[in-house]
Amino acid sequence: MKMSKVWRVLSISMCMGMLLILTGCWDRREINDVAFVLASAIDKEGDSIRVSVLIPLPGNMGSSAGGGGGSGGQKPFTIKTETGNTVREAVSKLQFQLPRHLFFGHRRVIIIGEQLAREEGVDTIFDGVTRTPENRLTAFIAISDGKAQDVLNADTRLERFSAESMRELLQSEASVRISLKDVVGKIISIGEDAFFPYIEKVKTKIKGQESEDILIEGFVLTHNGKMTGTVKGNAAIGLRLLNHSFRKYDETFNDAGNFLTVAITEADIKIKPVMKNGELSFRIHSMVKASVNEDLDPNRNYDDYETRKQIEQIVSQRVEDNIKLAIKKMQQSNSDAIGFGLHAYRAYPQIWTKQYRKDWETIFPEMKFEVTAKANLYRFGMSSENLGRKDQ
Amino acid sequence: MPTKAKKAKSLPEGRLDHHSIDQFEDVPIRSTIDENNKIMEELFKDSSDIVLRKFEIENGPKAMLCYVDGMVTTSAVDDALKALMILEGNAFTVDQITEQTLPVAQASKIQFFKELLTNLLSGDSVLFVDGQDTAVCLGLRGGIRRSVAEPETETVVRGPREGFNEHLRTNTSLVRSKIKSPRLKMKSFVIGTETQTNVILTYMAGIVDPRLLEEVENRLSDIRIDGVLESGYIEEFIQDQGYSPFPQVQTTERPDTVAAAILEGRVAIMVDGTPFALIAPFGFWQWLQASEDYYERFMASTLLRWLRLISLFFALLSPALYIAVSTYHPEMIPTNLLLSIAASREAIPFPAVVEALIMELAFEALREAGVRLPRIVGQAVSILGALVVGQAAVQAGIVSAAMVIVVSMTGIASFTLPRYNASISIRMLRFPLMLLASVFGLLGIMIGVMVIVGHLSKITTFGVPYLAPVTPLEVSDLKDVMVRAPWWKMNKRPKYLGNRNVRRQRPQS
Repeated sequence: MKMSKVWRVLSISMCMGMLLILTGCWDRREINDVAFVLASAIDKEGDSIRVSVLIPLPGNMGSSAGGGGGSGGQKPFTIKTETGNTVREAVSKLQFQLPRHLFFGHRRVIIIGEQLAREEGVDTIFDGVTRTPENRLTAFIAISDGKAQDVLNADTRLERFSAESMRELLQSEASVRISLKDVVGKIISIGEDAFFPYIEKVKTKIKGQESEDILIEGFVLTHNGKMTGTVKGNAAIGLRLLNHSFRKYDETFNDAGNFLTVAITEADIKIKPVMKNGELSFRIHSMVKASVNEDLDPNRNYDDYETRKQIEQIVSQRVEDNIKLAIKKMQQSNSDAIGFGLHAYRAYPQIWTKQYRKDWETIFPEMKFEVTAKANLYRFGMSSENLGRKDQ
Repeated sequence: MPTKAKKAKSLPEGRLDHHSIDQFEDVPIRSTIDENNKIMEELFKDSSDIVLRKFEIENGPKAMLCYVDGMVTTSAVDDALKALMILEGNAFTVDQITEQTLPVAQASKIQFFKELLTNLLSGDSVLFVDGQDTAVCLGLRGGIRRSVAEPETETVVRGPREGFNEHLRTNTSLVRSKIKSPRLKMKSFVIGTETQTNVILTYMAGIVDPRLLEEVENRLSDIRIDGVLESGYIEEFIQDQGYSPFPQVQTTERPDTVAAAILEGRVAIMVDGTPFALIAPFGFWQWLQASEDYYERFMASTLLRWLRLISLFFALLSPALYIAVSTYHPEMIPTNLLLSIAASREAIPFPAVVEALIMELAFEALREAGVRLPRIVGQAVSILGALVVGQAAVQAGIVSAAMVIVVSMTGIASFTLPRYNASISIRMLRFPLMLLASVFGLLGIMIGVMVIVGHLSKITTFGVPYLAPVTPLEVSDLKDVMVRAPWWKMNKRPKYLGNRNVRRQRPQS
C-alpha cells in the first residue's frame, strides 16, 4: 500500500517533468558562448544598410582570472560590420561570421549615421531594432555627425568602450535622455516630432595624450522621421528649456567689457496656447533662477538693488533669446520637436482636430510665438564682494 | 495505586543469557540464595564486569550483593556492606534491613527479575538475602560522567553556558532547576528491548495541549526497537512525515531552550546517553529562532531574524540563481558586472552548472571533513581547502572567481541558521534547485520553489501545520515570527500550539 503510493507520486512527477521538456524553450547559453553587443551603429551605404556592432572581448579586459593574456595594448573590444537590405539581414549575415551568439540584451546605445537619418529617415530602422524581445527599449539613441561607424570606433581613454562613454554622455547633463521608447511615442503622434542628440567624434592632439573623444554637439531635428536640421549652442539650450529637460548650466555675459558667469540653476517654463480671434498662437513664459559664479568686475556691488536688477535683466534677456532661437530653428526645419501641436490639442481639442491637425506641417512654420522670461538672481556664492578688490 | 497481583511466570527455557530482559517479566525472585545465585551466575556468564559478592549478615543469614563494576560508587557500597556485616543489627528480613540497617537513601524492594535486571544494569546494587523472595535495590549509582559543559553546537554570546550531557538525571535536574514548579512533569519511558534506554517526556501540565501529549505518548510507546543510542532514533520514529526533507522535531543541547519550549506548551523528550533533547512540535519559523534572541534586546533580535531569513534564501537559491541568470537571462545582470563575470569565466572549460556542482561538492566535502576529522587535523583541512579551492582552482582556470564568491556566500549563509538540522535540509535542496535552474532557468527555480513551498504548507509537525502561525494565520502569534516582540508585549503563549493556558503574564500597564 505504502509502496504503491510512493510509486504513484514518482510516476506523476516524472510525467510532469517530461511535460516541461516538451516546451522546447531550450535557450541555455553559457556566458562564454555569447557575444554581448554593447552598442551598434547603423549607416547608409549605397542602397543598403551597414550595421556595425561593438563587442567586448572578455579575454582582453585585463582580469586576473583565467590565466588570460594581459591587455598588452590590445583593445578590449572588437567591431564587426556587415551590410544588408534590412537591419536584421545585416545582423544575420554578421552572425555567420562569428563563433559566438550575438546578444542584444545589453545594447545600451544605438547610433544612426547622418546620411541615413537625412535620406531614409530614422523610422526605417525602428522595426528592426524593436521587434525582437532581446532589445532594450531603454537603449539610448543618437545621430552622429558623419559616419556612425567611426563614432563607434572611437578610441576613448576614460572608459573601456566607446559604448560606455556614449552611454554616460547621453545620460549626462550635456544631453537629453532619449531612448528608443521615447522616440517610438513621438514618431507615431501627430503634432510632435522626435529630436535626437547629435554626437561627434573629436580628436585630442596633445602630444602623448592622443585620444578620441565623443561630444554632444547639439540636437538633431526631424520631421516625419527624417533629419531636417540641427540646433547647437544657445539654440540647444533653448530647446532643452522648452522640452522641460533643463539641467543646470553656466551662461557667460559680456557686461560693459567685464565678463560675468552666471549659473542658471533652476528653470520653469509654461507653454500656453492662446486662441485669439480664431487664430492660434503660443505664449511662452520662462522663469529661471540664477546665481553668480564668477565676476570679473571687481567693483560690482551686490548689495545694490539696482545692480542685481540689471543682472537679472541681462539673464532674462539671454534666456528669452535662446528660446526664440530654438523656436526659429524648429520652424526653419519644420520640426515640432516640443510638441506644440499636442499642447494645442490639449487646450482646444475640437478646434485642433477640425482646423489644424491635418495641415499642422504647413501651419507650424508660420506659427506665432510670444516669448517672455524672468530671471531671479538669488545667490552670489560664498562672498558678496570680489576678494581681489583693493581696499578703498 | 493498588498493586495488581501478578501471575508468576517461570524462567524462560534454554540458556538464560540468550533472552532479552522482557522475557523475565513477572519471573519471581527465588527464596533461597543458592537458587538466586545460580540464576545470576547463569545470566551473567562471561560478564567480567558483574560483581556477585557473597557474605553473611552479622549473626544472620547468607546474603549476596550484585552490582556492575564501574557503575557504582565503591565507597558507598563499602558502607552498605559494613552496615550489614559488622554492625549489630539483628535485622534478618528484607523489610528490617531496608528500614533499620541500611544507611542508603534510595532503597526499594523488588520481587521480579525483570525489574531487578533493569535496575542492576542501570547501575543500582541489588541485595539478595537467604530465605527472602524479595531483593533490595540500592541506589548507589556512580561511575564516571562528563561534567556539565558549554554546548558546542549552540553557543551563545549572552545566555546560560550549561549544556546537557550524556547522563539523563543530570539533564532532568538541569531543566528542573530552571522551572521550579510542580507543573513540570517528567514522564518516564523505557525504550529498546536490549538497551532499556530511559526516555523522559517533559512538559508543563496545564499548559500543554493534552491531545499533543497523548499523541506523543502513543508514538513513544509504539516504538519497538532493540536499541536506542541517540535521540535521533526516537526522532525518526515519532515524526509526522518520514519522507520529508524537513526536520519536524527540534534538537537542542541547551536546558534553557527546553525550558522555554515547554513553557510555550511544547513537549521535550530527553534520552539517556545523549546530550541532544528533542522538542516538538517544530515548525518552519522555529528555524529562525535562536535562544539568544530572547536574551538580547528585541530590536537586535528582530534584525538578526531578518538576517537569518535572508540568509536562508541565499543559502537555498544563490547558486541556482547564478546558474539560471548567467546561462538563460544574461540581460538581467548589469552590463559591467556581466562583463566582469564574462572575463572571469572566459577560460573556464565547464558550463556554469558543472562548475557550480564541482564547487558545491568541494565545499560540502570540506565541511564534512572538517567535522569528522580530529580537531588537530581539521585545521589542516581548512587551510588546504582555502588554498586549493579559493586560490589554486581559480588561478588554474578550473573555476571562476565569481563562482567561488557565490559558493562561499552560500556556505556562510547556510551557517547562519541556528538549527543545524534545518540548515542541512536547506543545503540538500540546493542541489535539485541547481539542476532545475540549469535545465529551465528561472522558470525551473520557480517550479522548485513552488514545490518546496507546497510541500511545506502540506506537512505537519505533531498535527500542527508546519508553517503555522503564518499559514494558517494566527495574528496574535506573529509576535514571535518575523519579529521578536519585547517581553513586556508577549502576554500570551502561542495559540497555534493549542495551549490550554494561553496567558503568560498580565498585560503591562
